[in-house]
Amino acid sequence: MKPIVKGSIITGLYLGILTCICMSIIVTVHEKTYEAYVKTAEKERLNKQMAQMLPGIKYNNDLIKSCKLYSDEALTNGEEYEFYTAYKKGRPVGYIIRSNTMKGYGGAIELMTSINAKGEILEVVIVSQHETPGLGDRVLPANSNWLQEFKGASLYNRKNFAITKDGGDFTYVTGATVTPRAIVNAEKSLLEYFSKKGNRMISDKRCLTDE
Amino acid sequence: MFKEIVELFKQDVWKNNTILVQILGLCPTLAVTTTAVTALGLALTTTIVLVISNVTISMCRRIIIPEVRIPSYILIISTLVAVIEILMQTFMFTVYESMGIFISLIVTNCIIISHAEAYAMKHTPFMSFLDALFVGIGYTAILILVGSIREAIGFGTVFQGLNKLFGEYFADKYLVVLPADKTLIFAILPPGAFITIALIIALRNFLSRS
Repeated sequence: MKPIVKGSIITGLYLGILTCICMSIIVTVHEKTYEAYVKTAEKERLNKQMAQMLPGIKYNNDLIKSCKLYSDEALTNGEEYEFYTAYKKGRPVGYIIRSNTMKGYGGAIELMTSINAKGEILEVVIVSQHETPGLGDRVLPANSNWLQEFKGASLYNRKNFAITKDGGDFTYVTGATVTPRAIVNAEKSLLEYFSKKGNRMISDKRCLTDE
Repeated sequence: MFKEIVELFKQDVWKNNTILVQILGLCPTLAVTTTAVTALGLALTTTIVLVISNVTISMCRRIIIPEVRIPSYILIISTLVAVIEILMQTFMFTVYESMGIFISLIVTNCIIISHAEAYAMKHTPFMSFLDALFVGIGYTAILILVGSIREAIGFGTVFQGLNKLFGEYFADKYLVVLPADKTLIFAILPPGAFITIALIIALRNFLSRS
């Protein structure tokens, strides 16, 4: 074999091996940290979202640190909901609750709801869902402004807190009843609990993510 | 040996300062020095990459095939940057967000590759380590200087947001040099960066004239 060919092969092999070593280092680091990264990024995103979920309400405490865990056999089904409270001069003025419902068409739908002291819904945010693209996911803010219908809704100003098909006044998309129904019913039971228990929903149990 | 180190320090920090004399690596220098803290963040990250890459390349200098040494440097440097980027994303998310794309651009920072080629390939790992450290000190100093000047004129503060780098203790540890209504947004815009660096280079030339 000519020396130049031999040299090229050696150089090529050398670069190939170096690339493999470098790639495996990156892949290892990525795998070891991926879980932690998803958690921080996710937390960061939620924190930003939460800051925008209490429009018009002035509060002076750190929302993230107010996180308490709430569980109740009937409402949370054995799970623990995160319950954030906004205080002004020691009085609670707004609440953000992270809840979920298992009644979605594709399983669990994670929701985040902000409620003011009067028991009116301020915002509803869908944190995660697995609904059918094009049908159930029409409820997402990217596809429609359906979630806006919750703004200002409470048990008192809606005679029947349900979708129109069930006799209420929340609209739904024909062919995709399950998703809106699941969300509306989840919000309804949340509000019912809230009006019954009010501040007693603030438990003493701190969230694990708090440091 | 000691004399050699002192001479290296003088060379790297003052006589051959990468920004002021060699005018190398200006892209990130101009882009992220809008505030002192982002400048410090990028300077520290670049220094860390520089130190590790210099030491690694110096250790491998006998097995790197000379004909393909440049691709080898790039592979080693980009691996380091990728790893550091992943680690920052995970453990220092706010810093990562504020520096954005400039972390990946460290790969193309010519300071790092020029020191790999001009120094690390010819010297022991220990001397390469010192060289990288000194270059990093010179680079960091200039970046902080430019960042502070621009932040002081543009926002009226210096070192606001240190908590993003070093934790909540520093949340309100910053200087206020100008009232908010007397600031000049020009300093924050790209021309402000060019003019600031030009003035610093002029000052350095003035100080070192023989």
